[in-house]
Amino acid sequence: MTRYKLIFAGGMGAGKTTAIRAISDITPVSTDVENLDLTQHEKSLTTVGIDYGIVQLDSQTEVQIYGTPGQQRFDFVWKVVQQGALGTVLFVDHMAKEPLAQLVYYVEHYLQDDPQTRLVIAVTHLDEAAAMHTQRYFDLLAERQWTIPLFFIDARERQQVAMVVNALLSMIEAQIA
Amino acid sequence: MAQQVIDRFAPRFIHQAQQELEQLRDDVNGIRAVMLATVDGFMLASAPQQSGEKLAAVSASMLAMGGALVREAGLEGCRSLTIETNNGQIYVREIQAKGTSLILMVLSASGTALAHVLLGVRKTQEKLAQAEQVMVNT
Repeated sequence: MTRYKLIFAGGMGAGKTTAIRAISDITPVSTDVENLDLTQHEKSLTTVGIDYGIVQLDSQTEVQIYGTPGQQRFDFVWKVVQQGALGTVLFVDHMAKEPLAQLVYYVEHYLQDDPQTRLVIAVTHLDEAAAMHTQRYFDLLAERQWTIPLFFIDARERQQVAMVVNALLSMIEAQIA
Repeated sequence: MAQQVIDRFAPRFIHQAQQELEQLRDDVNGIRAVMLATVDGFMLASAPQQSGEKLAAVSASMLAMGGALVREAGLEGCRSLTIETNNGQIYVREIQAKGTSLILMVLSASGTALAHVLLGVRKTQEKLAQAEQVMVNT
């Protein structure tokens, strides 16, 4: 049995908990509490510990997914979860005030921690009207010379979350092989 | 950020909480520090008064993780956590005040009788539960 440990990271309200719910084969472990910081995000609940879900890819492969809180004051959880993780899906809320700045912040955080870390970016909330053109994400990645795969997904859709997880797994397998 | 969250609480409540925390620290021998925070990890008051943003965040995280463990074990309602260390004890408890859940964290020196801490916390909890108003918009 091969077990992979992956992380779902990224800003508050980007859809990490939702994506774990969408993809997990078990009832996920969740640590949602009431969100009082409405200036940061107006959602009613927020993750303050870890989310945890399992995806059984086939009889021989299991993916364990750890979700982290988005807020920077919970960065100690990021460090705890990071141990033994093979890759990270970085969720970016397209509707956030400065999605590109968020993307840069998290990519730099994870690259600083481990320059070899495997990252995939999942941009969410595309269905809501946004002023920013999606091409800007690719322009930013090109500018920074970051060769990080980037997808636009609906975190509620199992298949779309699975696509991102599979992209990350193929990067991991390519490096292990 | 933190200020916007604190602004959602009635100033009188924050003031009362500050006094109750100081009372708790002074009443129970061995208590080093007491903190009141929101369930999403923002500090509202502390005795001694000091910055404890990280402490509030970790306490909120731990209590939520405790809740996850409780549910996995088929139990319900994680009310408190007690952590014993080489040089002290940490007690984290979820309390209710006018329908708002809050977190009370107590740091005590090693050798402090936990029963005294629990009794003190219960008194503080009861007093805070009687506050006329907790949040501004409720």
